[in-house]
Amino acid sequence: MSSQQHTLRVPGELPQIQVLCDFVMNVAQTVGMGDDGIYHCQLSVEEICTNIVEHGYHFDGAGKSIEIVCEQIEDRLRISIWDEAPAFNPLLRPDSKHHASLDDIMPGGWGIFFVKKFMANLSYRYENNRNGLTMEKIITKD
Amino acid sequence: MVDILVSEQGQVTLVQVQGRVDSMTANQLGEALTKEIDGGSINVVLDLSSVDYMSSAGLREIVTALKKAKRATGDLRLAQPSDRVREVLEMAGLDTIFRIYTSQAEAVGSF
Repeated sequence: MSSQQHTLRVPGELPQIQVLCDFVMNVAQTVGMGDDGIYHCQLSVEEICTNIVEHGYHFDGAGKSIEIVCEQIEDRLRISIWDEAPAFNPLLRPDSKHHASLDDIMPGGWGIFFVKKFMANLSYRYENNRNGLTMEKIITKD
Repeated sequence: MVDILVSEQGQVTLVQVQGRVDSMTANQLGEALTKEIDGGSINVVLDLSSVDYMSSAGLREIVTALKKAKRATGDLRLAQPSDRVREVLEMAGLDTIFRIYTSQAEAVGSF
């Protein structure tokens, strides 16, 4: 049984990411998520939204938005993040690999890697000229 | 919000960070580390005991700083990462790249 959706839309700018993270934290607390789950949700939202601002909007997202929709679905918190950047599925990006040496490490890729590790049931779709990334977290108390 | 305190402990520069290292604040940390290393302080201990949150943006900054320190024949070592920070370090494989210590004294004394 699903419950009420919690939605927030903000300008696609870096300072708004904290607003989105706080929003998710509050919803996660409301549905009874433990501290670990809340942290994982916050970090995942930040990683995805930072990629949107940086790579989707090229730090010029003031006239664009990021929308987040949270909903409890039975024992899971479902989080969907929508943006207006050109179509791009971040789930298709190769996973970041562990590197044997410092010189082999190239920046980028850890963000979506963390999301895949922390969150479940990730999916992507492009609808109405918007990218939509959905993920879920089992609601468990620590 | 992040607070950064820099002090000297003999030949080691201690950088103590407090707060949240995320996409908004990571560049502050990066700039602080760069300033010290470019200024000749190439043996750096980064004390993360008061960092309750670090995202990939923070990891990128400390990796960049480590590379810079190494090129200058120095090192950047980590002290007392919280469980949350250690989790992302390990997930990124950086626990085998950085030297990590469970106390500030150990980290400083390792140089």
